[in-house]
Amino acid sequence: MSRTKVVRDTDNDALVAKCAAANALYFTDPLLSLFLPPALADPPPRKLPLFNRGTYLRLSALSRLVDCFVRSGGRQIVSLGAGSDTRPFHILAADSTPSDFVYHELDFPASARNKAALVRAHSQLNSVLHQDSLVYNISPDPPKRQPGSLLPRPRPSTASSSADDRTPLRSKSYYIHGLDLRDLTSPSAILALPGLNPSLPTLIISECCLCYLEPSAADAILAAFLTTFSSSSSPSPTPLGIVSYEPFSRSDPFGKVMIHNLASRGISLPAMIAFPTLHAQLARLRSLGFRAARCADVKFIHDKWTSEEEMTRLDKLEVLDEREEFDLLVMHYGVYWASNLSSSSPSTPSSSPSTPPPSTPPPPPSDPSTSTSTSTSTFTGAFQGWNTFPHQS
Amino acid sequence: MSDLDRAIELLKDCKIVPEEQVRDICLRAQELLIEERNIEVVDTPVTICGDIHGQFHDLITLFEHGGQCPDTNYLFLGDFVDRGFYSLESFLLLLCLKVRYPDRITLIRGNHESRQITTVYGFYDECIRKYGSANVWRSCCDVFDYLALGALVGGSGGVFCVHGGLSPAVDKLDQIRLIDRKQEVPHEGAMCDLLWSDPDDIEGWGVSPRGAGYLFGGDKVKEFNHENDISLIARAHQLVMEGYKEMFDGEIVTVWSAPNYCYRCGNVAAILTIDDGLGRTYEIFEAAPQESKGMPAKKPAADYFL
Repeated sequence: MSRTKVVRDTDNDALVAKCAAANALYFTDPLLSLFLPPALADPPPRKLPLFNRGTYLRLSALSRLVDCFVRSGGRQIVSLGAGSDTRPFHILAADSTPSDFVYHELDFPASARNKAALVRAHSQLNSVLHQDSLVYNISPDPPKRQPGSLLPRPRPSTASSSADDRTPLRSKSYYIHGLDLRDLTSPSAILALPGLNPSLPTLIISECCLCYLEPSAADAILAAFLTTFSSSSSPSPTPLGIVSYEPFSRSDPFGKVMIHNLASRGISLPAMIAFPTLHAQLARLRSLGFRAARCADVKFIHDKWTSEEEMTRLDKLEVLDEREEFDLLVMHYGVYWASNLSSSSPSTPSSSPSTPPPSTPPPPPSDPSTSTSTSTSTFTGAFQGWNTFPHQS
Repeated sequence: MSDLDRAIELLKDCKIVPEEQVRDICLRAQELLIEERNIEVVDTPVTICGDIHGQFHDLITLFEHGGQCPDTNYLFLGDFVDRGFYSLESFLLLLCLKVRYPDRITLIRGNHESRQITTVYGFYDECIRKYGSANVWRSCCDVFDYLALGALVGGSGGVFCVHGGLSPAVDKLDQIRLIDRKQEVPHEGAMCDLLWSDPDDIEGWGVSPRGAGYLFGGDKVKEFNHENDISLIARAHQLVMEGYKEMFDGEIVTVWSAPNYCYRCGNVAAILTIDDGLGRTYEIFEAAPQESKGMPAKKPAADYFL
């Protein structure tokens, strides 16, 4: 199996894990099952309680950081290796999302075409998009992923420029781009993405994505984004942030076994070797030019971001035996976030023993910007809310 | 060679035995276990083993390190099943050895020897997968109900063995002896606590994050040991990366016998031998590669967030 196929298939792992956690009522997402291939849908996905809780923490941590950006003046998301993520449909459907918000998903061409076809096939997905601006460009290879579903026959393509070929779905608010991320290493390549606006406050999401690339390739992508967003509106850069979720080896026995076990499936994560800890990742982000870089491992998120009420709800869903194993597992995953703006307000107390964290963390941003103005001055708030999240940096 | 010896040979090759024979083994085991007391008395020397969790190949490695049964006298602290891919083979091998050499192996109950927990953590699914019905699972669960709750090694000044730990409802061993144990593990009370509780660096009793049992501090361990004239509580129940962990001036120890737990954790395992003078010897072992053993290779399908 090609390395690309192996990496693409990990999307099914993530999808099955999310469906299992949803089936166990950790959260609701009726859109997830639309993406589940029939072969994986019966019997309904099931995972162990500790795995479901880890999946829930992954999704809720990312949602809180992303939603904070959307509520605080964010205007554009670029999701790398988006796979079957349902986040764009939830964000674009939310009343609180600005009407001019733009969501870009980038993935391998085959994955991008598959997703575009599924969006076209399911009104639950495409109804949240601006119908009059919606264009599919899925030919010449209709997806074979869901033979049971009644996919409309692809319409003859009217325009077939190379840019269209690489963007199987475009609308005013949502784009799916099919490409190899490793080609996205220059501002011109980024600016060539249809619909991408380098003057909008933008968040890059990497949910288990950049870690699959060689660090030099991932660095080149991030450097290209930073350059693109700093040169578009001088003198001050357009706000650009990144939020990422990925595994860490911590250079300990668990991490070594993880690298070994994944390698036996043909999966290699070069970032796990180059950046064994969250703090190594933060140092890397800072060296690339990101500022206000913060991190929290999933054990910390479980202990410090979860309100008492939510913890009570989780404890009632399933018996979580094997606490030591849960701690061990989730401390090897983490979220880090950063932007190209310096944080202008003092950060919340870190996890140092002398400064106990707030009792019901994290408080939502006290006064998120709800202005729909697109003047640059409000943009600087796009990442302010992140300062309220307890972190370990 | 008796049917039982043949079953032991089959199981040692990680092969399953026919359903009718499983029922027979379970019934014979029940006849033995029903005669055992809630706290079995065990002579020294004995080798105490912690959680196995269906890691059959590692159980075979354990016997290579500790010596074969009946040459070595064994005491297993429960959690034979769930999580690993060979719960059935692991539990049946131990059960066959129990029936064949009743005085050379003691099995006590862990919190996973329960109908409710095995339906969530894998043993039930494994039985359905391997036999196509829940009959074998039902037979095994009936055996679970007869397993002893603890053991006392070496008489006065000796070692109290239990899967989880102490209970606020139990000051004296005699209180454990009064429990009617032949039932599914209850959600609360002394029997539940013995199988679910954990020692912690606290004073007194605390709420367990597991949702069952309690956390208990060093003061409770010392009171209990003094009151009952024992020198050590040997328990399992918690993953220890180094295989074993003594706490509270060596008055309690956690023994963990599933190396590289769930084919993912990277930990070593340990067994503890108590000699005639109540001396303690720990033996550490690692998960061995299986390809060399001519047994069905374990499939490292450990789950990760990808």
